[in-house]
Amino acid sequence: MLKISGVRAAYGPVQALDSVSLSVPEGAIVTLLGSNGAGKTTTLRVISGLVRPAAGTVEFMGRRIDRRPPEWIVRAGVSHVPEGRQLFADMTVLENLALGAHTRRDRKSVRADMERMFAYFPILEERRTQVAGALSGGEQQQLAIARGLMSRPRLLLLDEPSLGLAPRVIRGIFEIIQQVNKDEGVTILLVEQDASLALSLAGYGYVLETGRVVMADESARLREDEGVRRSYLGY
Amino acid sequence: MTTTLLTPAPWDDWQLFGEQVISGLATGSVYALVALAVVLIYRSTDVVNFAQGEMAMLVTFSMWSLTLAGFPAWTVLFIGIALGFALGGFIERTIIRPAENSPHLTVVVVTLGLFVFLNSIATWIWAQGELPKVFPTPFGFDSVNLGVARVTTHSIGISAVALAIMAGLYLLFNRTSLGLAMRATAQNPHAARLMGINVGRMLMLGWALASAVGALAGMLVAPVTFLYPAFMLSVLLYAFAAAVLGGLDSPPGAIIGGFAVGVAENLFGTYTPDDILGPEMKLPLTLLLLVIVLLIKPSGLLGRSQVRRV
Repeated sequence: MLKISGVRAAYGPVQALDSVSLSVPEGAIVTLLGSNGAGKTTTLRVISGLVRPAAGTVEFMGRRIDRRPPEWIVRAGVSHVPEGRQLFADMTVLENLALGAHTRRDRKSVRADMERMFAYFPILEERRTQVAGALSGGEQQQLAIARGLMSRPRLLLLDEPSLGLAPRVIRGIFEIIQQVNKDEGVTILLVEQDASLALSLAGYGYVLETGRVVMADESARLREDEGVRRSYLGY
Repeated sequence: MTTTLLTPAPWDDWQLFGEQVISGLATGSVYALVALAVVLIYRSTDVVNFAQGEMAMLVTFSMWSLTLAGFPAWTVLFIGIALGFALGGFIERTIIRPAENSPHLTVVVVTLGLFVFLNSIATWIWAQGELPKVFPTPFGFDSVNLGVARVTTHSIGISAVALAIMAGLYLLFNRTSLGLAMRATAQNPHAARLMGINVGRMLMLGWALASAVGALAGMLVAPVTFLYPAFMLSVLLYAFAAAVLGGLDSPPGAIIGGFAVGVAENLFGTYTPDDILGPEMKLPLTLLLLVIVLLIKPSGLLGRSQVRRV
């Protein structure tokens, strides 16, 4: 469904990605592992069009998207839930969800999708008229994911959904991610600091180091790997 | 032995007081429009547009030329709004966008440069003949007795138009998905892009709207102030005061600030005793009022200084 080949990207003089290739099959949950600065976030930003690759191609559903602007890529069916959530802090939960559906014109089904989001994330329904900035960290993350789903994506890019959250809250959110993947058939590319959590959810994983893919395998095999264990799992 | 500080005192002449308040509300509605334009741009780009008044001035002069060519006042008003809209969008695309990623101060200086540039153009084209020029009002200058005060039809007209524009902007920003997208762009352009919003188009639209509103304000106030290249300067000054008073990021604040400044200006002009201060002290006194409000509430009346969980 998603195929990245030989992508190189830089922020000014700083090389962020140095020939990254990876693919995500339809319906799967795939994770990107790596330490800070390895290029995980940049990879997601290249896919969603926020960063233009200096070289290489990004293909989504058989079409090249690497020269397209983000607003085009959203319409093509890719939704990016960015690091740090990036909610519209002064706007209500409902307004944030409506903005998630900005690319859609079918008002009735947008309304229905909001109700579906409230079924996944009941706390958001309670908070529907509160501004996003007043929500707790866990609630904000739930809103960010729900907002990301409102565009009815076929591919959801999740960047560090566990960041700064309590373990119990994280578990809840990951259960919902899994459920969304299963129920809605949304393919998920997950960037996650917590490698053991990510590998428990994803079927397949890539390990990035300084802008390169250094390893790619099934999650179960990655978990067995000595190097991965030492570097990312901590035992 | 009693000397009144105020000459004349309001209790001697309530009619005068009423007239001053009402005509203050009328000019205040013009300040409110220009303040709204300033706030619109400030919210979306964090930049105070110093050229706001001169953009309006350029449009007003162009429309003055149209009235010379025989166009009726109402037609001119609508063409002027459209021209203001186009001018704002054009300026955003050609002058502001290239400086988009520069520090805010750079963009502010760009707007200052634009101020000088537009002013020179207007002087070059229109300041040849006699100044100031007379600009027509579509409402007339008939006197209407409202009981508490006599006001002109022009005052009533500009207040009504200003209120209609404010209501329209409110509906646009709070009831339409376009307005929601514009607000989202102002608040977090990065996130807005990820929602599929064309951020560049929203910024251009914001400038166009602000410029149209400013141009309308210019054309509404020109029949009273008369028309010369610097005629928007004092309006812009009061509008800035209004915007800051209300809170630079708050549209309702800009409106309240505009009316407050308009009324304050009039009352200071009427009631400061001639032998001590004189009516020309109305601008410093109005600004003093602003300073006092900001000392008490630094973010302005309705400005945000919110505490937020992270």
